Amino acid sequence: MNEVVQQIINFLSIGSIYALIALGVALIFSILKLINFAHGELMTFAGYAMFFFHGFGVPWLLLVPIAILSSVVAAVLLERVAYRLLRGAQPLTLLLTSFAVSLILQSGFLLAFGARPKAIEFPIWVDAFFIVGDIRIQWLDIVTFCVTMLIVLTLTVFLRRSITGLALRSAASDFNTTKLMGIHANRVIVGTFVVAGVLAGLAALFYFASTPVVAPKSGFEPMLKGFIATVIGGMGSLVGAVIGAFLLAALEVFVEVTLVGSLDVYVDAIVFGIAVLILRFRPAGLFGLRRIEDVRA
Amino acid sequence: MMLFAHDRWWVRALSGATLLFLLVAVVVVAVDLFGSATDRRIATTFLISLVVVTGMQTYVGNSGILSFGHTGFMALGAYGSALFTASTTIKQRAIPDAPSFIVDAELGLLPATLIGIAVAMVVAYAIGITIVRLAGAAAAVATLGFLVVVFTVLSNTDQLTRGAKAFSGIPPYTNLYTGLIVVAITFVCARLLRDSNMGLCLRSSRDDELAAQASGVNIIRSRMVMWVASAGLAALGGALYAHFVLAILPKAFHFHMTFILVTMVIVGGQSISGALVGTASITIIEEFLRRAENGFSIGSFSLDELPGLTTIILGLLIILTMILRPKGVLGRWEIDELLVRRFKKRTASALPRPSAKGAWTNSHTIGEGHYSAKSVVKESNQP
Repeated sequence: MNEVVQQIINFLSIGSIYALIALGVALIFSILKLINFAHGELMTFAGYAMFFFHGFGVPWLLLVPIAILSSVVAAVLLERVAYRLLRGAQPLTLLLTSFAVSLILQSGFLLAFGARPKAIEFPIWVDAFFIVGDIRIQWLDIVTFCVTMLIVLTLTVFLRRSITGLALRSAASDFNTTKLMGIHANRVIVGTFVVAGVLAGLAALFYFASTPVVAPKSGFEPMLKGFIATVIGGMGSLVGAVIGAFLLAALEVFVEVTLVGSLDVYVDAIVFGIAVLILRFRPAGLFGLRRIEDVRA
Repeated sequence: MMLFAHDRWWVRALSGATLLFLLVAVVVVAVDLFGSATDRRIATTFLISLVVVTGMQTYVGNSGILSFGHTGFMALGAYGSALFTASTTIKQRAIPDAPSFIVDAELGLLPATLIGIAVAMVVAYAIGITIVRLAGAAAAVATLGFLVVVFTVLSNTDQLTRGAKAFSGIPPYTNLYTGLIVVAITFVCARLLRDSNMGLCLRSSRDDELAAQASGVNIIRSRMVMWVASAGLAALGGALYAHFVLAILPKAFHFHMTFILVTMVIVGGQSISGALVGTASITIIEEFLRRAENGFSIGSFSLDELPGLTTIILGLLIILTMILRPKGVLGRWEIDELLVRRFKKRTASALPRPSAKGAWTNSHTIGEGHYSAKSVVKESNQP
């Protein structure tokens, strides 16, 4: 019983991190039809920012906004420098561009910080926990889950109630018509990247709090998980992204618990296998609607 | 020139493949005669990349759907061929726990390579059931996932592959001339597949999926056939690679190699000639950068991690290609098709100018399915 509760907490914490990543990926995809490979590098960037400013002795309360701000700035710069050149291009062109951008950033980190992983020294209170019965619960897991839920809620309210949110949603469903309605295309797109940057920064905070080293390729694995979650949930569906993320986390925890002994190195392989199996029956993902544009793309 | 515009598609395909092969062969023979040992090594890695890139192109180019998974098939071909050709004594030492039909086997190059290809094609069929139903971003993510799966499995199956450690003792069969033979086979297969009905169906779905479907093209089936075939060609390239480097490890078939191969595919274009152009240019650029960076080194495949500069420049090259020529340098054309177009243009301008309507019917009686109406009209408008 205790084991089960422990694993459920574990699942909620992993799922939350995946959800934050998947939301950022899905948000950009829904509006620009761009699958942003560089999303992982936004997280790496935030990780290096934490490492860098911590070296200057900046207190942790300030480091949190710095981490988020750095990935927001990186996201906006990325849009301005790379993606704006190819606005309105074919989805495949955009995909390849973001793939190239992601690798360029990785090599940039390599040149700037070297290949050796840098340890980020989180304060001790990150490891704080409390005990209920026999169960050790880490505050970090609780905070991760609560913040994620708060973000999902805020994002939902923002998208449904605010004018900017309305613009974003209408841009996601038909960008051309949205522009004809007098909505500023640049403002919508930059806004999207700002939100995606915030999500990447938060995800980076929680991700690096549980694995406190940052290397040039740190962002790849969480990015891939976020992608898989988005694809399972249905490309471009925000609800799908969150549900896909928690589904992926559930699969991962379940496979990890049920596999015995030497087999646990195959967790990723098995989880991806199941994900592919889901796509066999729902190629557009669980919440993806097949639209005419999707068929053509 | 007559052969390139022949009525029968397979004559066009074979003559086109021959033209490309002759281009490669002339260069390779020249390198063999006049080049240094380093040049010969570079030329061999070029031939290996060319086989894999042409294999990738068979799916990616014709379907317009990106795949990051072909390095995985390459790995399967490499391990398949390596495990069945290495001598029993080596295997008893390196992988004593492997099944006896692998440890005791000491096959020749051909049967072992065929086993590798068969394994890759079976795996391709199994995951193809899902993959061919996906397009665009979802396909890219799913194939990337597949690559990770192959990597995880290979680097953890210690009793079969020595895990993350290198499997060495592979007999050296690959040289410039075996490479050339494999390139010839690959070109012929790839070109026949491309120009066959199946390939035409797939290309039509690339250019307009709805229209293709409305014309009765079974997209899923044509994708599946080409997907499995292209996995087989990638595995063939993998076998060639294994018998060249003589020691393989899972890490070699991971992101770095995928990145290089995908860059070659993208820069060249969506045709087999594009694969040749992309592979040749990237091999040269990479070699040049490497020399500029390290002073001296060999081969386009390295087990070491590349210093960042090469990746940055290749990445910028992809972005540049995307901005200037999103469909690659050659677009969807083969070199021989471009020659025919050139030739027709010249003869058309020598004759009295036909009306646009005349040009239409003309092109239809010749039966050139790959001529779009737009290019015909443009041609007839030439002064």
